[in-house]
Amino acid sequence: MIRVEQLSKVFAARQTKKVQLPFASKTNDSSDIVALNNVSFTLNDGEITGLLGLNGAGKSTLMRLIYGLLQPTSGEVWVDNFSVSQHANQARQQLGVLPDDTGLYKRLTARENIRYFGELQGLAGVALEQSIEQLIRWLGMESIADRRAEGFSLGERMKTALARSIVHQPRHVLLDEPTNGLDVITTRAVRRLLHELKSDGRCVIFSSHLMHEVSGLCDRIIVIAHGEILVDGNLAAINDAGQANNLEDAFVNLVTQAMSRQEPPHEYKKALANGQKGVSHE
Amino acid sequence: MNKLMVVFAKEWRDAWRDKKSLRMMLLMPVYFVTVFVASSLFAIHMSNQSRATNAEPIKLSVVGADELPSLIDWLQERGLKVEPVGDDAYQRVEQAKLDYALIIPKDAAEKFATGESIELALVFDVTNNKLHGSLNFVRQQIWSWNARMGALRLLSRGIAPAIVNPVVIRDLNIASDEKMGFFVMMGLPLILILTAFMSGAGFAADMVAGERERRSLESLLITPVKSSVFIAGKWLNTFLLTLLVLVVEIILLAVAFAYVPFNDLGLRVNVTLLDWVAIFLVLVSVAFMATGLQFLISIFARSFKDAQTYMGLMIFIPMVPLFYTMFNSGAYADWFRWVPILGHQVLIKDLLLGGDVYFLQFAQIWFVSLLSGIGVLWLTAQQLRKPSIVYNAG
Repeated sequence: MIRVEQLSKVFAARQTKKVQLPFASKTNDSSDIVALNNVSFTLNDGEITGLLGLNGAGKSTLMRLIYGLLQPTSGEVWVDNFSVSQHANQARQQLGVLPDDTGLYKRLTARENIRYFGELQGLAGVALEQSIEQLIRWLGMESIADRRAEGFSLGERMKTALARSIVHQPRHVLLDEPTNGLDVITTRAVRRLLHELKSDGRCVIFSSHLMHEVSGLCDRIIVIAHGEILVDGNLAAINDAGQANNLEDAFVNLVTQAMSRQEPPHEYKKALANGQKGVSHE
Repeated sequence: MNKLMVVFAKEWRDAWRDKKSLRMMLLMPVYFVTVFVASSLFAIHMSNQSRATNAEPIKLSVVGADELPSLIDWLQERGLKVEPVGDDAYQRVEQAKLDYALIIPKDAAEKFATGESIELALVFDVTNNKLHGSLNFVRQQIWSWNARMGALRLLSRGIAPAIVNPVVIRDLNIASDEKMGFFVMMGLPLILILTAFMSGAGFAADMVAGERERRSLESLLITPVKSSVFIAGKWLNTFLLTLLVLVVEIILLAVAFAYVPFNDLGLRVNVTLLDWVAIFLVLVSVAFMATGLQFLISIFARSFKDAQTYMGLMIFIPMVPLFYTMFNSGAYADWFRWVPILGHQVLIKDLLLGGDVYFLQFAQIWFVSLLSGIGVLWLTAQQLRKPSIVYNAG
């Protein structure tokens, strides 16, 4: 179970350095960027949740806050009973994450890449080798397993990165666009893998831009725009809210409505920026 | 501890597969020792040569020696061995049968008597470097005779000779052959410390900035491993690789010392095996501190290339104290021993030149190195999971 409680994240905007006289009032509050604004939800075990949003909607920021490499401006994330800000390492132990950056170690083979992460997660010996073997089979990586990662294709890189992120069989799996750039066979393998994880009773959340991917796989969909949750529910609920009969139309409707509504909630931003300046991370 | 070994083992394997960087790293001691041996041999050659020329008198072949007996007397008085030769001196110099010759014209005696200028010709081949010392000496003696004669003539006419000499230059050359040898020996701590300082830089950059560049850092940091464990495991690799380079360099130097005749430089060079071990111990402490610094620097670099640029600037840190003591070889104060690099260098110099060395001095530099090394590593570990490092912003 992953619980997100009233999570907000404000980035101090990179200031274009202007000479400011000491007695002049500070005027650049509104240039702060609100990446997430008071987001709350609970992800259940045995469920696949899709995170939908346009580029820059806050998906990656949300993911990064969950695995604790960004610190929230306010709010808290719980992974099972571990608070991410208090017990980051225990929380990370429960997580398997495929982040945006999927760089591999080029001088190691695919198997060695996966094994290294397994060892970092505390696995060793037969259990580790079995887990690696299983993932190689599931993802159809037999032919590349003992090749050095130098010169891997995008799909091969992605599969290796995916395998290394879940080699320790985590209770919770976070995937940032896992099927990005994969061919159809590999996409199917990944899809099979997600189902496998779900039937194991694990909690899976992934972000994607591919509507059919999300509608086909997810038990639950969260649509975010401008750092806020627009709708949170199953496919039917999203279609209802977006007044359409397929996910793509519903999503576009929701997002365009949000855009026209949003010329941003200025008061909130100001309050947040002023009140939390000291906590925001740059 | 377990995780530390995991990180270490992975980086160790990764480093040994990076054949290109390994080759570059091992080239450094070979290159340094070659330069050192070459410059030593050069210094020895120079000192042998100048000793040879000092030992025997400079010969001067003169055409028409009878014309200016007072000049010839003067030259002989100053230690030149004058040998009268025939009129074909010019041709003989041209054919390299003579090194150089002085030609006094036929009308010289007559002109000298009447007080006219006489044109003396000094025939030589400028491309023959061997002659420069002797020629300068000959020329100097002719000039000084010239000045004397001029002064006498002025005096005999009732004019003070100083009137034609508004300034006089006196050369005071303090360099000696021993000094040159000393410079060569002073270069040795520089070479050793630079090796300890820089040889691991490529690997440090790859292990820290390289993670960022190949976009594997984020995945790495999502694992439940402490930042300090990552840094320690990676650092241990760089440290051990640096030690490997130092061992190679010291072996090469020990071999060089066995074969290069340093005693010809007038230096008492007697470096025993124990001295080399002691020097190695000093260098290990330099490496401890320097590899830590490499890590701190590369964590602020966005790419491998970036890190290399910073590392290039880092090389100036040891250069400053090293050059200071190289050009002020007498300079020493007790506080030198507390300054990183400066203290190390003083100790290495003492070990090489046979000064007195005490255990406490080792303890002193090790204390300084451990403190600064652990300090910079701790700082690096503090940085590792910061959003500004992982995401370049945040």
